[in-house]
Amino acid sequence: MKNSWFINICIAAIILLITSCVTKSVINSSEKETYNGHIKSPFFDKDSVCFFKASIYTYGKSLSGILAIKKQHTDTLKVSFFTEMGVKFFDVLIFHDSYLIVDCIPQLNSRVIMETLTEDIRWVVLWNLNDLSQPLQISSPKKELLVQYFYKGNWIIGKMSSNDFPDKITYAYGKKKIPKFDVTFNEYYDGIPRKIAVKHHKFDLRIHLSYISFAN
Amino acid sequence: MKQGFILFGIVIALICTSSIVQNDPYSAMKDIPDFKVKMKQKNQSVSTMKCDFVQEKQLSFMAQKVISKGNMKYKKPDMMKLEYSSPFQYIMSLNKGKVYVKDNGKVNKFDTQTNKLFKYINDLMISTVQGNVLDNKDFKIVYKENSKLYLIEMEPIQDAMKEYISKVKIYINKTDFEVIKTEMSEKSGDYTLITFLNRVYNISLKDEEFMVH
Repeated sequence: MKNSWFINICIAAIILLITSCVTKSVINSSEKETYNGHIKSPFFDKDSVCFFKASIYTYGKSLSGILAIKKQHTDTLKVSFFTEMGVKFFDVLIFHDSYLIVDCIPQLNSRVIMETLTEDIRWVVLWNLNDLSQPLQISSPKKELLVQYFYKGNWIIGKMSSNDFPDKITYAYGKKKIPKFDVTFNEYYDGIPRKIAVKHHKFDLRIHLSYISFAN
Repeated sequence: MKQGFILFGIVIALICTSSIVQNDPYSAMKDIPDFKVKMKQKNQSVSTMKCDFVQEKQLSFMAQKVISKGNMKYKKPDMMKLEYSSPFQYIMSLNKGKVYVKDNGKVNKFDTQTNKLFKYINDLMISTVQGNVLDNKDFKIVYKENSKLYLIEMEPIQDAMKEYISKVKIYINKTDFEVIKTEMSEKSGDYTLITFLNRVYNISLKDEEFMVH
């Protein structure tokens, strides 16, 4: 009797653990309608180069510096990341579906790290908007304007502000639209978000960016 | 009309050429022992230093130049604080073997004994500001001069450090032996030039001023 009581508690605990571990879909609503607007990037309109003070946090370690992103062509970004004192971490060319490392310190020069960072950078400056298709507006219980796009077999879900600039985008994958990472755009001033945060869901990686201007 | 353009081009080319000729080129230093003695005397006479700095970073990859500004404090023997104020806030303080970094309102502490890169930067920065690089065994040093300045060119010996810095140049005023600017180059050709302005020596600086909160 005492044993069965203990077993029941264990089973209940295991069920609780399993259910709490299931990753939630980013979209719960099934009500969707065609969206006629289009998500817009606030970057590269006035200036071809954006500078950010960037801090990268992962598993208790952090790295900080200046992230420079230059729109070279319609299909190429030039990205440089260097310390506040000017020592370089990497130079990389980012295309819409690939990247090319020009220079990189050994500690960051791995496929996993650079693939993750380059995809994050693409979505920080909303670089791959032309690859989005099938826009659907999703009804939200919070009355937010949520728009879902199909993106290379995955999903981009944008929480939109009134002027088609995003407040937040979520990169999701699979039928259940499991979130991979979020990019939030805060403190818009003069049409540009001054604070941007990237947060990954599958592992501990957060990037905090503050828009800075080197003019004058 | 076409001839006018050609003439204009020739004039521009001549102006450029003459400006290159007018440059004050560096040659090998004539009296290195004398320079070392005078630098040592200068270092011995300095206990503290405070100045503003302008940092110019050349991004050759992006064809961009970025300029940041701040102030610096130094106190013998091993305390130095760099405080960037524009266009971002960032503090790095080298304090008795520890490196304190304040970024985004958070303070991080690093031990230079356990972190080789920080130790390297620590030693390099202190040496650079002191102009006291002549005893630094981590570099191959070449001494040069022109009519106004001494130039010390330092190349890292360790391969690991060459990944970060390929050459450091320190420019020292011939009249007062003060370090006026330093240039750190990378293997890619990018460089960071730091010019020290409004230098004030031997003022009272408390140890607490090098703390980061």
